[in-house]
Formats: sequence, C-alpha cells, structure tokens
Amino acid sequence: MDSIALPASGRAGASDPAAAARRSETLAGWRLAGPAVALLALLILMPTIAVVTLSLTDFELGYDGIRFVGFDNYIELLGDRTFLISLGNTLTYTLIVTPLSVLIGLGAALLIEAEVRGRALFRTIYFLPVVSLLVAMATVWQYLLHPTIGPVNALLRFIGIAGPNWLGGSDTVLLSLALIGVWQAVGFNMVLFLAGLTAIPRELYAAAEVDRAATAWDRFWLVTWPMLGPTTLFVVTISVINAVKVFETVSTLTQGGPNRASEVLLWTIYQEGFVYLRVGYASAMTVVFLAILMALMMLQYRALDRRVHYT
Amino acid sequence: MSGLALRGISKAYGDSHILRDVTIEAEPGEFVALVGPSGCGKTTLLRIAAGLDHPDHGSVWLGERDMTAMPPSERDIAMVFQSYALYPHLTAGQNIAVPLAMRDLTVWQRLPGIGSFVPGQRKTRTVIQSRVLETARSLKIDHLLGRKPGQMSGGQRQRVALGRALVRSPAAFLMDEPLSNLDANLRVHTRAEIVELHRLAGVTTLYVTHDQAEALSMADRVAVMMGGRLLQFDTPEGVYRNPQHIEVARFIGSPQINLLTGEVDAAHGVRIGGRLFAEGVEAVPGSAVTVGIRPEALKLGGPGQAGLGASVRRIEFLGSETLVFIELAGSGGALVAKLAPDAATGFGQGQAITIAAASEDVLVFGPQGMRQSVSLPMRKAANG
Amino acid sequence: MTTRAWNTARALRLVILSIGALVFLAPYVWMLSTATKPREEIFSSSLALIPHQWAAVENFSKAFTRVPMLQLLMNGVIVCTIILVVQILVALPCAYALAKLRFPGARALIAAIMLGLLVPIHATALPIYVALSGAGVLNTYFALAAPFLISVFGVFLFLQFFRAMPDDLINAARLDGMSELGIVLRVIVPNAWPAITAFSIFSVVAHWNDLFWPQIVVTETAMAPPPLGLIFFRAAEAGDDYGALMAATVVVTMPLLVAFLLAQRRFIEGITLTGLKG
Repeated sequence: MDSIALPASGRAGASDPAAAARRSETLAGWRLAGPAVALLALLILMPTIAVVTLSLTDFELGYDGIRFVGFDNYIELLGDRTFLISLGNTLTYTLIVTPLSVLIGLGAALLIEAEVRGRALFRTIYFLPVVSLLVAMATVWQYLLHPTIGPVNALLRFIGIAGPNWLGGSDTVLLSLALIGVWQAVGFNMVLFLAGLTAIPRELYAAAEVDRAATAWDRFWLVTWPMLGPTTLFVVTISVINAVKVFETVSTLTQGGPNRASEVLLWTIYQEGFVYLRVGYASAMTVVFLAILMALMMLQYRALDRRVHYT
Repeated sequence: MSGLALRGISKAYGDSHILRDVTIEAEPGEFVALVGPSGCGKTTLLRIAAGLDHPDHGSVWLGERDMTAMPPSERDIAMVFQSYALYPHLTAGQNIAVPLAMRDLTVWQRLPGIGSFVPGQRKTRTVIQSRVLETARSLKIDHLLGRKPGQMSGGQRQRVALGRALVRSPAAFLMDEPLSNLDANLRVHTRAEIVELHRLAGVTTLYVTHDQAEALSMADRVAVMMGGRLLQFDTPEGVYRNPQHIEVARFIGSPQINLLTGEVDAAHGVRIGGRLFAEGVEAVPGSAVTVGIRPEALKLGGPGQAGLGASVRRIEFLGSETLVFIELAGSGGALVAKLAPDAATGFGQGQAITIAAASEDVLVFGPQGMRQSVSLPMRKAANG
Repeated sequence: MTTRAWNTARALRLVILSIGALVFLAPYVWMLSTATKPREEIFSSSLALIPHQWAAVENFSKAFTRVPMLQLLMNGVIVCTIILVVQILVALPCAYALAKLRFPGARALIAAIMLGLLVPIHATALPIYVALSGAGVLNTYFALAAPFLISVFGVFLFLQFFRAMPDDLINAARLDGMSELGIVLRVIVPNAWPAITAFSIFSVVAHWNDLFWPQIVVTETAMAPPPLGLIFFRAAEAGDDYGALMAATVVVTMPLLVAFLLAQRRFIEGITLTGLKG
C-alpha cells in the first residue's frame, strides 16, 4: 500500500508485482479458508448472536408472534426456583467431581509413573471409561447402584451395612451421579498428568537427591508438585468445565429427579427449550450458562499461558 | 542459456529497508556469490529472484524475459534451501522426481492410483524415472533413492536437495547457504563438487553465503552486500585486492585486513602517526583517512630499517603459515602479519621490529569509508 | 534406601493400583456378567459373576430385536463419518492458509476461531434447532451432523501443527510448481498424519458418545445413534430387564472399546494431545 502512495511508483502501480503477489496470496488464502469461514459464521457466530437476541424475547416454538421483552427473562430467572436449584446442584456436583477426579487422577499418574511393571495395563484400565459410551456405562452403574438387586448394596449387606437408595434418594442422588462422573473423568486427568510428569527432566530428581531430598515425599514437594503446577491448573479448569456440562448421566438415570434433587443446568435448559419449547426463556438460561463457561475457559487460557512460561 | 538480472531492487517491511536499489546482473552461465553478514538482505534478494518474495521497486529478468510478476512455479528456476526442505514423506527418488512430475504430468496423471490409467502416464513416468536415476548417479546417491529424508545423513540429504534442483535442467540455480548445515570437512569437499557440477551444467547460478572464503573460492563474481546495499560486485580477486569500500575490505579476507588511522600528504605519501609508511600511493591527499594493509602484504624488518617502529606481541604457528601479532610503537595500534613459516623464524616475542608495505598494497579509505584512489601516471617516473 | 523399604513401598503401590483397577473394571465385569444371566438370577441379587444358567443368547437376541440395533450402530458410523470427513476437509485448508499464507483478515479470522473455541454446542443448540425444525429436516443424518460440520478446535489444532512446519518446505513446493491446493494435498496432508489421527480419535470419541444433540433433533428410533437408541431401548423395556439392557450396553460400547484396545497408544496420545491443546 505504501508504495502506491508514492507518486513515482504510480505508473508502475498497475503492474506492481508485489501488489499482484499479495492479491493472489489473498485470493488463495480466502479460497482455502472460505468454507471454514462460511460454516463458522453460520454455525457458531450467528447462532450465538441469535441466542443472545432470543433471550430478550418471549419466543416460543409453535406459537406465532415474537415480542421484545428486554431483560424480563433474566428477571424471571432470578425468581425461578427450578433454575436456582439447578445452579446450586451444578455447583455441588462440580465441587465433588473436580477435586476427587483431579486428586485420584494425579495419584494414579504418580503411582503408574513410579511402577515399571504393568504400567501400560494400569493405564489402559484407568483410561477405559474415557472411551466408553457414557450413556451405556451409566446404565451399568444404575444396575450396580440398584437399591435391592445392585451388587454395591449386596456387598454392603455382606459386611452388615444397609445401603441407601443411591440414585433414588434425594440425599444421595447427586453424590451418586458425582461418583459416576469421577469414575469417568479420572482416566482423562491421569493421562494429562502422565504427560506432565514425563516432561519433568530426570536430572531435576537427581539434583534433588544430591541436595539431600532423601525421601520420595520430599522430592514430590521439591520437584514434582511445582513442575506439575501448570498441568494441575490446566487439569483443574478443564475438569470444572466438563463437570459444569454434566448432562448424559442425568438424562439417562434421573431426569433431574427425585424431586429436582439432580436438576442441573444443561438438563434444565434442555427441558425448557426442547421439551416445553420456551425458546426465549431457555435462551436466557443458555446465556447465563455460556457466561459461566466463558469465565472458566478464560481461566483455562491463562493456565495455558503459564504452561508456556514454564517450558 | 540465459543470464539472470536483478535491476534496481528495493524492498522494505514497514520502516525497515531490507534492500536499497540493488542491481546485480549475472552473465549467462556465470556463478555469482552473494555474500555479507547476516541481515544484509542477501537471502531476501535470492527469494525475490525465486519469486517467493516480491520487490517494492525493480525488476527480475531471466535472459530477455521479465519475470517480476511471475509466480515461482513459472520461472523455470531451481532452488536449494539451507534446510534442504525435502518432503519428509517422500523417498529420495520421489523427492527428486517432484519437479518433473509437476511439469510433465497432467493433473489427472498425477492422481494417486487413478493416474496410472490416464493415457501417456506410464511413458512419462518412465522418462522421469530414468532422468531421476541419471541425476542420482551424477551425484553418487543412486543407492539412496529408496530412503526417506529421515533415514539419511546431513550430507546425503544435501545431495538429494541438489538432485531435486539439478534434475529438470533449470534456466538458473539459486542456492541459499546450502553448505552451512554440513560439518567442516564435508563442506570443503562439497564446495568443490558444486563448482564442478556448475562447470558441467553451465547454468547461471546465484549462491548466497555468509562465508567469504566460500564466496571467493567458488564464484566467478562476488557481490558483497551490507545493510541492504550492494557495496561491490566484482571478481574474487577484485573484491580482495581492490575493495571499493572499507566494509568490503573488512569483510573479505581472513585474518581481517589491518586498518590504521593516518593521512595522505601532498606527495602521495601515506603517514601513520606522522611517520612515513609508504610512498607514491595512488590516493587522494587528505587527513583522517583509514589505511588498510592485508596481513600478507606487511613487510617486517629488523630495527633501524625503513618503516614504522613496532614490537612483536605474539606468534601463532599454523603449519603452512605463521601469524605475527604486532603492536605499533607510540599509538599502540594492533596489527597482524601473515608470513611463510620460514620467513617468520627470525622473530620472537617482545622483539623490536619495523613494518612497511609496498605502495601498491596500501589501500586508503576516506572518512565515509569510500576508497580514495587516483591514478598516478607519474609514479614510476617519480620512483625511478 | 534399603532394598527392603523399596519392596514395601512397591508392594503398597501395587496393592493400591490393583484395588483401583478393580473398582474401575467392576462396571465392565458386571456388565458382561449380567448380560449372560437370566432374569431370576439378576433379581436374586447374589454377588456371583458366573450365571448358573446361561441366558446370553436370549439377552443378546433381545438386544438385537427390540430395537434395530444394527441400524443404530450404522447410524452412529454414518454420522461420525460425515462429521469427521467434513470437519477435516474444512479445517485442513483453512488451517494451512492461516498458518502459512499472509492475507488481510487472517488475524481477525484467527481471533474468531479462538472465540469459537469458547462456544460449546449447548450454547448454539437452540437457534440451530429452531432453524432445522423450520426447515423440516429433523430426524435426518443432516440434522445430526449439521452443528459439527465445522470444528474450530480442529482448525486450531491443525494451525498449531502447521506453524511448526518449516516455511522452506512450502517454498520448495512452490518452486517445484505446485498450486496452493496442491501443496495442501501433496505436502501438508502427508506430513500431518499425527495431527489428523489425533483429531480423528478426538472427534469420533466425542460424537459417538454424544447424547445431548441427538436427543434434541431425533425422535425416531430408525435415525438414532447408539446412545439415544439405548435410551429408547430402556424406555421400551421399562428399564428393568437388566439382562437384555446389559447385552445392548455391551453391543453399543464394544466398537469404540475394541478400537481403543487395538490402538491404545494412538488413542491415549491422541486424547492427550487434543486435551492439552484444547
């Protein structure tokens, strides 16, 4: 552009090779990126704008007419008991699943990393739930946790404890779902930790031993934990995000019950939007959900940023 | 055969000028080395010749063809990259065949699988195969054709990269530091081979290097570049013996040229620190000039002889030659002299000596670094 | 440290790992066990794993006849294939252009991609559902695949990968006479297999297991992918014929599980890579 501004090169402007090359590179660039750009606009950009717009209307699928209602939907959310219960349950679920799945994942990674024999076998076993159909495995868990015929309660009876109605009682349902969530998430966290562990230089452990960190416990706090810091931060945020998105197990096993004790965000949105078809109202819930996720993902980006500085 | 001309090339990224009005015209079949320190613009110039970059001003010519606006693929130019840029997923043979396949096979013929059913494909493939084999034989890599780049040594990869450039007999060769990733022994050996390949093929070649010895030993003409400007474009002997700019003198030659501050008197005598160093030098009279003398042009003598007083600080014996490091009396200026081992036997550390130089070996540069030279038709007469 | 202490530590480690492994494997063991048991034995609630009376044939034949099980699996395969193929065809050229070409708008596009990473399907589901419903294409493969035809994550992953490829490789290809599309097909793709494999595993695992979107756009059993089919099956069986249910569970879980067991290293590497980058 700058050369075109010069009067001396105005004559050459028409056949300016640099400009021509830029033009052809631009053309090639947009041709190659074109399909992605179109789909990005159509499937992500526009729907996101649409969901925000719809959240300001009273649109219901199947009814004619759409009215702009400002922030009415959001005001209604503040007094919607189901939604507030749903938020609370999602928070509780996340607070159980995240620490447990991170700690067990870390523990498994440390034990597996330290063990020479059977390393691949253990890794495979712990990883199985990650690639298993969650809906199917939830069904298996439902059987395992069945109050009368389930093996878990049978085992408890065997040692003289009367097991609860795991998925049927409003006190235990969230805990039961969370345990299934932990079982499913540990393998994923474990492989991320394993990747983080292999990235720690062996010399650091040798140096720690020379520096009189004699026990494995000392070396963990001196080397492993600080070096794993970025990985841990990352695993925690990704675990939180996945926990907030809990849907499959609720939809398969409890449908939000009993008595809304397992009502979680995505399930509530699903019910409002796709069963009752109150699109406008469900859109407002979606915007809240999206805001929560965005905040969490921003945290994750920052975690990733710090990763870069460490390595 | 056609020459390659870069005329009036300028290139800037924002405010930083990479190239300023550079003109280099390589004669048909000529081997031209572009040499200079890193960041001097030589690689950008080569990429402009290849069509990978485009000049803001100026034009690129191959013989009578103006290629300035042509994409790289249409220029009929081959390039050897510093990193070799071999396709990692293809064998050596397939790598060498790529330019021919791209040129000689149609889009349909190149399709994997289906391509072999397109008429004419097999015949062209056979021609390509034999051409690849021929090229590989000339580079002595025919036994490596089935290997992938990952299974080859640096030197072998370098040959495959050469093969990929040679195979299609291009109108011009561009080489971007092709030897810099090789170890020292292999580098000297391959240097000679590239010169030999160039002699056989006779293709106009632009060769980028930061190594002045490489440029001097390989090229027909050397273009010395600095800070985006072409300082001198001359034969290796020309840039060495007759540098037109102090930076050229400094960059070319190892050990570096000796540079001293001095003046040229009205009688064309060069004085250092007021004392006469050489007479009848072809230089414009003036003060505050820089005087350059190549290490091998310094003449050392015992105390009391004509020249500047100095002392020997250190002697380095290098086998085929000996370096004598000298400190000038008074100013403390440091110089180095290169002598034949026999000629150096008389000197020892701390010894007082005198230094002098023949008038034709003394190079004088003005305050701006430009060579200050003037013909002295009377010199012979004056001396005689 | 003495050898003895080392042995104790190691024994403890192995015991903990083994107990954990048992807990993780328990659902699979009972799934297989229950799938072979007749109804009475399941309800007798014994802890025995081996049935007295084998009912595997009966359970599995129910799993295949009460719902069109093969159809479900086929639906899953077709939808996952459509999604994966389009995702790769769209993402690869785009990522190449963003990584190796300079053109106005590229930076804005990268920013849009990064923002797109923040938006999950759950956020865009409502408008897309409204549009698909309006177009009358619910209960089709198209509806199942539509929101996933672009994977911003795929673009992002490939972009990272291509940035690490040397520029000179692409310059050499240009001098050798390749077009930009030719470079993508002949140079980029053959060298991007690790990234493509990792992304494929990530994509297939995610979409084979997805329930949220299919549950929204599919109401007919004939179009359901495996997770939704299983939900329909439970509804049809009133959820208490556990033998048949477990047999169905085995059938829908197996394909991916077998693929995983056959190519464990690739799976774990792929999931780790995509996990760390995403």
